[in-house]
Amino acid sequence: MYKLTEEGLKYLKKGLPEINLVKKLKEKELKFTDAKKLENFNIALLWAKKNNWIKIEKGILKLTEKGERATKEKYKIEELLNKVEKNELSEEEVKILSKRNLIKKEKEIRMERKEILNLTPELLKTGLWREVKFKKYNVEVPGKKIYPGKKHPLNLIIEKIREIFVEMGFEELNGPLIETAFWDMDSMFIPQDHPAREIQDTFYLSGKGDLPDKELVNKIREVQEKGGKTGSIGWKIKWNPEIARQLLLRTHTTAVTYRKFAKGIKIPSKYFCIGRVFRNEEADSTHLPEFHQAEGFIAAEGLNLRSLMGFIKEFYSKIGIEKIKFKFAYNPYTEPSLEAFGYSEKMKRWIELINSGIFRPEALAPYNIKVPVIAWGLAVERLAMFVFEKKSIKEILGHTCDLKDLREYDILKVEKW
Amino acid sequence: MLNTSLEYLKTLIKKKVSVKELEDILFNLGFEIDSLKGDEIAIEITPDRPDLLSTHGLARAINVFLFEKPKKYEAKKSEIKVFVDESVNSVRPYTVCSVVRNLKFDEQNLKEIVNFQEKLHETFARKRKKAAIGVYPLEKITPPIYYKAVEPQKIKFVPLDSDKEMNGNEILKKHEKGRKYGELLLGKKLYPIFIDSKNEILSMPPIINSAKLGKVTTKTKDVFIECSGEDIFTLLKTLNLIATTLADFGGNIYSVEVIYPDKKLETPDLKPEEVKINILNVNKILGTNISKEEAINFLERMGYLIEGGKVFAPCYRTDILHEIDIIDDIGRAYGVKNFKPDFPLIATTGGLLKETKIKNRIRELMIGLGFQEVFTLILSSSEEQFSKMRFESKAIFLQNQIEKSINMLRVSLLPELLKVLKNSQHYRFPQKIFEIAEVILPDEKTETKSIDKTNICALISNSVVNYEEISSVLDSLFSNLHISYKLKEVRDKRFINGRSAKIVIDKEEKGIIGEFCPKVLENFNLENPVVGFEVDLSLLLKHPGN
Repeated sequence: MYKLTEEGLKYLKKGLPEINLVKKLKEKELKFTDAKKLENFNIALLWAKKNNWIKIEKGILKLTEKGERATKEKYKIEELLNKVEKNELSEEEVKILSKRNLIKKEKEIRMERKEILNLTPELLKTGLWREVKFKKYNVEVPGKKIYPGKKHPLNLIIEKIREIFVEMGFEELNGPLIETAFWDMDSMFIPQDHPAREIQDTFYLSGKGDLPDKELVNKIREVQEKGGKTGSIGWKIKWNPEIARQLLLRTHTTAVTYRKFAKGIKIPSKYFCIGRVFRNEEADSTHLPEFHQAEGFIAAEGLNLRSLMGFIKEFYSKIGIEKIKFKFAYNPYTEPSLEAFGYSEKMKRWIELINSGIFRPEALAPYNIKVPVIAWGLAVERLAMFVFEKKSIKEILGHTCDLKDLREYDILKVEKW
Repeated sequence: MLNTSLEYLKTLIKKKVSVKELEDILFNLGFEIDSLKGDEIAIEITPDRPDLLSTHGLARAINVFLFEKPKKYEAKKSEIKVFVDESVNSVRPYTVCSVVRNLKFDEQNLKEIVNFQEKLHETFARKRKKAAIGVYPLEKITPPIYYKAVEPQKIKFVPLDSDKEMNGNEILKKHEKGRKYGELLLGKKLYPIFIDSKNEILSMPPIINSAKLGKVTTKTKDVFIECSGEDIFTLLKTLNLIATTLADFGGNIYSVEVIYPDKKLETPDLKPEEVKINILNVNKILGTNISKEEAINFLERMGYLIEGGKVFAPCYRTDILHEIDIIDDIGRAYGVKNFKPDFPLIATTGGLLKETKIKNRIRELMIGLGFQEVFTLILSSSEEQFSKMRFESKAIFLQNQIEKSINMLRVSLLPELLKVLKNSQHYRFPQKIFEIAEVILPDEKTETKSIDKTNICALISNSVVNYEEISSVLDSLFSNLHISYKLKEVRDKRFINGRSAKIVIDKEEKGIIGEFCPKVLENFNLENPVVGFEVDLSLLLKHPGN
């Protein structure tokens, strides 16, 4: 394959220099000194003389008769140039053009052409891209870093937990961040003198909120003071509605569960909530005064401690933990209560993520719920810290998260864990 | 938490156990070894079991769990009387008392009883509010004993850990325990005291014992115990916890007659309470198939007394409110490892809240626009939300925060995102960040006097960045949500004049957009210009709870 050289290409577009010269001379004779200024004059002169098209008399260029004719006839070389692209040249013709360095073997041409960096719309439109050589890149060098928009890793964990709950048939719930002590504590049989209510554990706000309807409030009072009709002895302390009206930052998502209990639940049903909760603590590497909890509950006939274990096992397995163990625990509104540990193959140790239990009769009776309700909750940031291998909660939540980290973390980590 | 000596605990457990075995037994019962350094062991005890906060109490639970028959505690009559004067009604109305004789104190068990007393004060007795315990060497006291309330300046005695006589007021001001627990007597005209027949003061509860009558030593053989407080049920339980532990030390419990103006009590009441178990309920809750006999055996291993086929809860247990608590104990004795998890199929359909779905769509759009999502805190400070921002608004303030860097709930996301930029200045620019999250505003009309609003906030920071860059992001957001909006130029001190606008949707102001004023940037120590917007999305997202 032969291709036009840069010279050949130029002549194809602008005409051969010798032709251009004779055309010019046909218009008018030129002084040699003026003609010298023409483009490619030396080449034009060489070939025009060779073809006997011009003569020089007293420093003036003039056309010969043959030259006159050449302005009207087709010029062989020009015809040949037109044939190059079509690949129709005979061997003889190749020789003619090669001799004038107007064509070359394709490979050779490439070597010679000017190197360019960028392909431009101009090059594409004019077809000149055919004639240019693209500068070589070092394609083996990794690309320069760019940063996409990305989700926050804590949100990836939250999405994963949502996904698991929905896969298991749970409906999502939410609730307000500021709560009355009623919904955060009293509604679920936490006694009014429980240590968790103390100011070093709970953020109290000024002012009082509203209590729900009287009927529910009375049921709560009865169950707190004397156990209501549940067979319980209750907490045996006078229940004070003013304490229940106290506003606070919710300390757990169970407040959301109890708002749902009061609104009414379907039987059977499964619900979940993932939300921010607050504890009046000093910030350190494992604690922040705010963090997230995920909590799910199931209300259905026939649920028991073994089914609670079964659901937790299934849940753990969905976050990639197969080996689990349980320990009896204590919680004022669930009995029995269980802590569930999962064995992380990667970390080679047991990690405690889940707290769970069966709601106490005193914690269900005021809502007229007559089937067992099992529930479990987990600390979202704790899971995130394990998954993203972070030592401090501040690297997972808050303005303290490192931007570089957010830009560069492994987006598949949640799936690979 | 029980902090004790491992060796001491081992001598009290009547079977040789290794640390590993001890750990397993505790784990089965629901407790964990928190730390073990040399001989010092710390065991995590859940708040329902104050009876395990003494080494003897824990050993008692382990011994019965392993093999021992539960012990039945009984009290003989002591003939000692305590007269309660009605003057205590206005300050600390109740007391219950006991005597324990024939004790052999040594350094170890003396320390043990003091520690147990303090642990009970802090936990079950709610920092001495519900109950305060006093233990006295009986030989120094001349019964009968009187419990009455008198004017603080008339109370004069040398308190423990002091060598000076003080009056009631001085004790509250100067004595360490007075400063710690003084608020329990705050505003009371009369302070309670125990005083004997020779007019010697035993103590001023719930603060401090007398150095003369109230100090138990290794020479003490017999003790007088009183518990005072507001709630007789808690007092009786507290007294049982202390008296049974002293009985485990080898002492004999004697009852005391507590004479109120209107009634007489013979305390302590160590009678175990009969509990009924319905085996159907047991198996229903635990998912097991155990017989009544098995259940009774399990309960015996948990310390319950069995007499003639009847089951009695031990007198030191404070946590049994309902049959469910007994079932829980059966479960523990059955062994947590013996429960086979079961996964019942319960057909329900799952689903996300509409709010979650909408937020996710908007997040996807912002990520598509090249913005990095951030996740900031709701707890903030007025310095950051207001002073540094040159901004003011109604807000909800904290009142009792332990973490001193916070004092309010955020009303705006802008400063929180500026804080992210502040921490990121050594990283590559441009920096484009966003967050969709809640701000909390006061609202008298709602049940919780507040409203959570979900806002979206986006910032761009670069060496050169201008208003148009951020307004095109905002436009893209609204175009993709098919929301029509208007920008109205506004003077806002947070932004450069002429480069900020309020965002108006349906004639309502819903947000702000602009190029941050250099003063704000300076306040946040930012070295590059920042543009941004914040918009309330409540148009799309419902306020939770309403």
